[in-house]
Amino acid sequence: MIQVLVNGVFLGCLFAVVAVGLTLVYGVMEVPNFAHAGVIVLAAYTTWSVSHAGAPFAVAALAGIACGGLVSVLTEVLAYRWIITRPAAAPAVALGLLLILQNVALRLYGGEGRSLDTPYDTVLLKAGSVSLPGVKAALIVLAVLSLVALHLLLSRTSLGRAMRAVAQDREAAAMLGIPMRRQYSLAFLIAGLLGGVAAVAYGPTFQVSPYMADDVLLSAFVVVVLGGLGSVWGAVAGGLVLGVVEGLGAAYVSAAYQSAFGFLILVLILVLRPGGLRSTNARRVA
Amino acid sequence: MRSRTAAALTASAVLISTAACGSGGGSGDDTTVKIGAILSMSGIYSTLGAPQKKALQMGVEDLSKQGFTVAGKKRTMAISYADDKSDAATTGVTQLRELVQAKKLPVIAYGLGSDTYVPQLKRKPVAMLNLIDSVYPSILRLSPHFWRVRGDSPTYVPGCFYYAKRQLGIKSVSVITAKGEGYGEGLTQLVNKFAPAEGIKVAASTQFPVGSTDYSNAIRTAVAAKPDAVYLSSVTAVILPVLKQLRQSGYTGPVIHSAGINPNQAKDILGAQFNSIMKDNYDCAGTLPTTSDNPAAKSFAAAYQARYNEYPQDLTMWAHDFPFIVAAAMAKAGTTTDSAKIEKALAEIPIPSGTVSGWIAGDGKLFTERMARTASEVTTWCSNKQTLASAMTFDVNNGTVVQPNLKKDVCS
Repeated sequence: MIQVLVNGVFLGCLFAVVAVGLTLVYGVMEVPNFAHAGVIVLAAYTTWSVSHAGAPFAVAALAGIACGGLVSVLTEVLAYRWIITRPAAAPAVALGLLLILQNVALRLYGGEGRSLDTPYDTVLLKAGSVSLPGVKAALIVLAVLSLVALHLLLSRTSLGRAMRAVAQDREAAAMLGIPMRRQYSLAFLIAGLLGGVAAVAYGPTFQVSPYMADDVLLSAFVVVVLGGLGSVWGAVAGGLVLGVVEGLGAAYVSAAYQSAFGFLILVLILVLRPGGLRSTNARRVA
Repeated sequence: MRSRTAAALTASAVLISTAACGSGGGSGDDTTVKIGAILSMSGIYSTLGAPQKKALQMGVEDLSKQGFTVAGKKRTMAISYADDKSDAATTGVTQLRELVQAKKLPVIAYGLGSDTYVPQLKRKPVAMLNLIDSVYPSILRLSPHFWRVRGDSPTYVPGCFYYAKRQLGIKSVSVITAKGEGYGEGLTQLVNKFAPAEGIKVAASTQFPVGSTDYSNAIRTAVAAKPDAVYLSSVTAVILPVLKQLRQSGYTGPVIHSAGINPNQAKDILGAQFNSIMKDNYDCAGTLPTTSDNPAAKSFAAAYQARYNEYPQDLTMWAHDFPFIVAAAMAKAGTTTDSAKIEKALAEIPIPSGTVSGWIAGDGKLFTERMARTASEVTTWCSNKQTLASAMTFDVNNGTVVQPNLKKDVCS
């Protein structure tokens, strides 16, 4: 049981760190950013490339996270910015961007999976009958640190307050003189950096490939809806709920339908609490 | 002015006639026979299509050296390649239509996506020879126009457990299957049949959804049953991440599979720890050209490695032999264009000379019930050499391992 919960927390942290990036962008710009999976892919390949070139893993990880931020901002500047007044076009643009980013990776690196090696690949943490591989422990630590940093940014800085204001009421924020374009770019930058963190933390447990983030993105969208669209802490709670539910379902029903349990809980939440776990009348980023 | 018009008209006539000639039978040279190949040369399965194309090119070149005669005329062969972009259902079907209906090619080689080609085959039948898909139940049941240039899963899975029982002393096995992935699900059906037949108990059988990236729940269930070995049911690209997470979880026992993993793939997907992760790893599949006892296969493997600087997968030797098989069928049929006659001849040809795979003839014929097969093999990972070595070669007759050849000092 404890082992199942530990696995659930690992999955939950992964979902949360991806979902927070999605919900942040949705809160500020109302874009369902499917391209986030492509950002994660390019960040993971950058980490792999730098590491493969002989750089220490920490340097490669920083390069990957920076790449995530950069690519994410580019998607906003080159694509989403131009459809801000046409929100109906956003899903199509997002899907198009996802295809472009994945195919860039496919073109540059091919379809074969690559391994992201870390200094803690062989570490295995054990406490009684419960064990946790080092790569998974690292993901949990990185996710917690990132989310705490994001919380501090949003609650303790003027940048964060401005972003929350934009999320709550875009027009009013503009009238108050908040530079909207900068806020959009900032939201995408933070989402991209979180995507980079997800890539660096999760790549070593799986493999780096052009489609490595598809499944995670799907689960992250479930988390976003579970948590309440635009709610950062709702996304964190939703991520943990989904991770634990999938873990328990896999353990006590069937691992073959692991993802299905996530969708089942999504349907239940939509029926019982349509606004999500942290439902709110206004869009929110906090 | 008139002379200019006349010159322009003459030039147009020349251009049109040239174009018309060019678009006829694919080539103006009627001694060159054209056939088709639909391969995954880009996209996620390019790890299969790219080496297949390289080996087919080597096969065509080797065939050209000896040539072949159809209806009294000496011929050479050329292959028209089409890329299904790892998407047989859309791009592959379009390419098949192009090759068969527009280019009128009589024989097509292909890799994945058999079921997606069936409607097109019903409209326009053509002989399609599969170079890789050994899924159980067989693809041959889908269409009478499918042929397979390799053995299917039941020709090698029984060998896994024959070897596991006698050489590894295994009495129980846990199976982890990629749910929704046809090859893996077929393997698991065979494991459930052949492991108990050897007296090996299936201690646990667990699955994970194909496409998922975390296998911890399936791994936990499999390992909790305390099996002597774990069998992983799926293809290389799926198996290796599962194997990695299995080792990361602390499991150090034997791992058996039928994925045909080669050292390059192990290194790429498993990373720096590949040698320790691959330790105690047993792969039962078709013989590899590198580990084969057959001198022709070994020679092909050396030539392939020298030319492309990559480890030749089992599928490369089958792809190499494809042009020889088609040439033999055309020679027997006495036609290079009539697909029905060529297909009929395929059923009757003996093992063609010049092939390297070490085909096993059934009643003197290459194909038995539209399947050509080579011997099967259990390979093991040798950590001291960081590569694979043959541990046992064998054949399977009605589900029973026959002619087992257990190797001594496998990794020495």
